Amino acid sequence: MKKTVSIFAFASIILALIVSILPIYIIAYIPAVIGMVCAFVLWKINQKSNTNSTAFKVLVFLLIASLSITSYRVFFTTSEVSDTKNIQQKEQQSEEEAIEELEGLELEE
Amino acid sequence: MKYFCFSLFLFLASPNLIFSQNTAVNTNEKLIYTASYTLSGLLTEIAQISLETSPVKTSTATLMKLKFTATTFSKFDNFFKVRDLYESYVNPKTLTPLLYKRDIAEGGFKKMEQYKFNHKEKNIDCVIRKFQKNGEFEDKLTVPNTGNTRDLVATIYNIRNLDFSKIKNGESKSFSFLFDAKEKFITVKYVGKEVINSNLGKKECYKLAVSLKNDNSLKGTNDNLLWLSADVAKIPVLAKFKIAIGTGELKIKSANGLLN
Repeated sequence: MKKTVSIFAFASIILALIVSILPIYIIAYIPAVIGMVCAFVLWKINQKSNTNSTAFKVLVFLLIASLSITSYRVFFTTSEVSDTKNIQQKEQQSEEEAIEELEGLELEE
Repeated sequence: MKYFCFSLFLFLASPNLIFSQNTAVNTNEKLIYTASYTLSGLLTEIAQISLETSPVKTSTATLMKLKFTATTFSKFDNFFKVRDLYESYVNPKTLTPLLYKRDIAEGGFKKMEQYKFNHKEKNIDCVIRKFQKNGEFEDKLTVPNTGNTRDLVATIYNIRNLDFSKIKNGESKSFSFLFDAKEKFITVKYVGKEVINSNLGKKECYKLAVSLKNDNSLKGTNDNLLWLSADVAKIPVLAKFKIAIGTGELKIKSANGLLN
């Protein structure tokens, strides 16, 4: 039981860490919460058996790290648009071509 | 934004009503939106959408250019880069389209389209260019125009010209537009007024349920909603949509140059 929960907790938290550095970082909360639940179960098991494993400490550290990275990116980074030079050039060229195409046109009222 | 088309049968019954007047869309307007997509139940901002209008002069007329751009945020550019540009050159008084251009670059996919609306001949000249790994392909075809078919951008702006004082709760309006050189129909059902909290503050809005008649891109019944500000400009404040792979939202970020 303890081994299964530990594997599950580590897998979830490592997944949360990986996702937290991707553009879709917001979904890192999902494996982080699963990892947190597993960590809590592990803590209860450790309490019962009166053991204090290093693995649990590492787990908590990774959990805090993943939650910190994700929360920082959610609350402190702004979504910005960059690399728009190409689309601006396209637009300018497209407008010139459109004016040529529409030249001589008379509007219906 | 735009003279919301009269329903199709009304248009057929009274052809003179096709070119109704633009009362909502101003020249030099700039609307910026943030597009979000639901990933595992959490909304993620993925792109910036902008809707702009500007005057364009030819030697014989001054037209209005309606521009729609979709640009993914830099964090997504390495993942799936989108740089879409849609332009519609319209009559500023009626928002009737004259020329439509679409230039899309989505991931590795590129496509260009141009529709020239010949209102006298009642047809639309379409040029479609696809860029594929094995070369560039061009298709040219002429599509008949029943009279009130517009392009996608002009249709969005036309919806703003609907006269909501004459529309009853639950009443629908249909608009035809050309997309991928095929005529499609969008139906907009007025479902009442609602106050929306937005970046522009609290706004009273007209709530509309949007559906496509001969296209299954939009899913669900009354799951695709559009809120237009209940003022002269009738700008889109919020849009929620449901597609096959999830749900998304379009929220207004800023608005400039609107009619007062």
